[in-house]
Amino acid sequence: MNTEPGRMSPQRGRLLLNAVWSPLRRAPRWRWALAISGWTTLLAVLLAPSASPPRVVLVFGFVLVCPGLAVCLLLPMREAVERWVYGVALSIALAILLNTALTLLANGSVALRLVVLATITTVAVLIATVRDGGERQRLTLARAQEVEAR
Amino acid sequence: MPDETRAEVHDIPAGLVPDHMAGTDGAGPAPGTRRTARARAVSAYHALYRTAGGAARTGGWPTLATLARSLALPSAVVLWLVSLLRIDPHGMGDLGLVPLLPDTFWLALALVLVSFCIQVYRRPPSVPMLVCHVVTLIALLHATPSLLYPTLRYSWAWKHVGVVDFFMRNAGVNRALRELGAYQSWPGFFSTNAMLTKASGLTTSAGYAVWAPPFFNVLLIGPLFLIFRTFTTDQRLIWSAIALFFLGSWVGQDYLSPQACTFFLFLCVLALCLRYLGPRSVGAPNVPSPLTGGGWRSTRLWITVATVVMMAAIVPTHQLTPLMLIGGLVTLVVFGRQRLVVPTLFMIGMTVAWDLSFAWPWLSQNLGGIESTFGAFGANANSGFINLAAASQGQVLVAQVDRAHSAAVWVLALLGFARHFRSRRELALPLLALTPIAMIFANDYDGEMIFRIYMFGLPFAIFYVGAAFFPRQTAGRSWWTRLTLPAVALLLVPGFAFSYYGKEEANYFSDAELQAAQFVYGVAPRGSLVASATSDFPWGFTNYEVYDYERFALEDRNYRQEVLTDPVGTFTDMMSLDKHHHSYLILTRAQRFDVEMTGMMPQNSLSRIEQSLERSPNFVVLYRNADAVVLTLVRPIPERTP
Repeated sequence: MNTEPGRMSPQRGRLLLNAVWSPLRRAPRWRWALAISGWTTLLAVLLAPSASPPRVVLVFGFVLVCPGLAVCLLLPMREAVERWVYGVALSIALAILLNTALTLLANGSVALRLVVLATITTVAVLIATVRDGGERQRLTLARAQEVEAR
Repeated sequence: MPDETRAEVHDIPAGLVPDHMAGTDGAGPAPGTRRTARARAVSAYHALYRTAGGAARTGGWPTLATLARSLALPSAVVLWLVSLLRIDPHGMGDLGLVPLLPDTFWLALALVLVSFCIQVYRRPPSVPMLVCHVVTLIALLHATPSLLYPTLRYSWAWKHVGVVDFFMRNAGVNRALRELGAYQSWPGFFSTNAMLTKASGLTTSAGYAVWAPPFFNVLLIGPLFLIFRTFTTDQRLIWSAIALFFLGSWVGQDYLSPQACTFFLFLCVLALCLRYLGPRSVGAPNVPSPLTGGGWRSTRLWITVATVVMMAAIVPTHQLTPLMLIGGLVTLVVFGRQRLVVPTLFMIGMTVAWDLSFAWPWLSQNLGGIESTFGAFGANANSGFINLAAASQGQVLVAQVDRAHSAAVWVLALLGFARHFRSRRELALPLLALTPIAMIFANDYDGEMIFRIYMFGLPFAIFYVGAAFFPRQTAGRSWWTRLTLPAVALLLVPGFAFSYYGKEEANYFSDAELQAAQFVYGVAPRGSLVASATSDFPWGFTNYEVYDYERFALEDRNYRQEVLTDPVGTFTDMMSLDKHHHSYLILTRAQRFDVEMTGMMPQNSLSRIEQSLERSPNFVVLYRNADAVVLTLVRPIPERTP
């Protein structure tokens, strides 16, 4: 099919969409839970009563674990335990950097802080999932070709 | 195949699993196959029980020894919980919490340590069981005050709650503040806690600050494990060193504080550097970079980025940790870890940039004090030690024990180094253990430098304490080692207990003391003076920046003598209306102990001062309870003009 220069053909677009959507569809549930953890926390902050246990657990659990764990999905780690250790360390580091920056800018918005952390978490999980899906697809193809060659 | 069955199948070594049961080729689950949470839990339970008891594998009744091993940890927890019911912290004396700890507490600790040593010697050691033991050890050592005390422990923790409170009420920093001004120049930790507190809907961080010591200690298990694992695959050595670390770490910087947080980040940065950016990476399997698909270069790039993010968080959070980290990184670079040049330059650049920009107003004000201690090795080394000639008897003993305890840890580390170095010539850990010592030339850090040096060197030195028992993979199986490891661990317990709990009379605040402090902060108008003997009471936890503070026992010797000779005159002058429209003098139980334990003032000085002021018509008691008194200057009534 002829397309104008600079415009993506529908077939290529579908392929690209499939390359992104397919890994997301097959992603384990915990990755989805991680991706939406920040937004769930934000919802809890806006709707749940002050100091209620679920709200406290969600806030501390998300801020201290989730953003770093999501970023760790992008890092080359040798062992699973490293993801947890560096995940917590990176979560604390990201929270400190964000809070320091906004404090120096005299911005006291808690919602803005949570939105930024939630965005980092979601984006990191999506990139890691699409990338891992692509890699898995490449590995499967390579294995299939190997079997065919035999 | 049902999930539970599959979970059990996966526990069996791969080669023994028939293909049709494994679901794929017998080597484990197929890529993308997911076990349910329940199956994973069943699998974990079986793994734990099998290694703990052995009954699941044999299918028969557990033997007496197996039963004893399995019950040791739960029994220790029960004994510990029973102990908590038997301790009344209000009966604390000169030796802190130590004499109050009942037999059941010591028995619980002994059970955990002996059981831990038995687990270490199992072939192969069960890592989940070792983790459970270390976490229980931390709970016993660090959650005891959290569960026992009615209020937040340690006066500095209260101040930090106050700084968090400041950032909850203020969007930005206030560099003009004199009191606790340094925290306005390194606000990272406090602003983050302010966010956590506000987002949770809590009114203060004091509630969760109580749990900071066990939390921060549990966090340290991760980076310690990763650092030790870089240098050995011997699980016995790794976990012995981790358990001994918690017995050796008595300095007590684990409360809600920037240093507790940055210490964790400091260890994580070094763990990343040692694991991925050191020469050992050459021999390790080539992990392809996830984003670029490339080799070591891109792996190093991404690891460096992660390292820089953690380092960047350390810089605006704490004054000393960046310097300690720079010291460690520079030493590693100088001694042949060239791959660390980029992270080191980043760390130096970020620290210098922060200190010369945001932190400069505070640094420039305190430059005189920093310059005066620079290079004063002897003075800096001794400034943290209490004057044994003036201190109370109990505190002399505590000081002697903590010095002996620290020395014992280092002697064991030297012994371990000598044994381990013969088989493995690795210098990174010894260098990292020794580098903090150089900081003694730089500053006395308000009398704390010697303790911080011990704290920052301990994670690396303790590896060699473990190596004293397990210098090689094949060593450490003799009966001698089997006996000495639990013996050393048990011997370190009283050392830790005296060093960590020995000053608890000053760190513990009763409900009555907190109520007196709450009274002062409840009635004192903005701009009032809050006077006290020392800062050893729950102070500054709310609106700390709107008050002025005076601590008369921390002034020079002449002034202290003046206070003792003429208390009424001195306090009338200190609290005069010319200086402050309202003034409050708060004297508490913990302050009394603080001045007496350090020998700042003679015995019963505060009681005598209190009695003199009460007898004087110039002062009036505003509040009194069993542990505290609040006095104020009587306000003169203006004469009526006809």
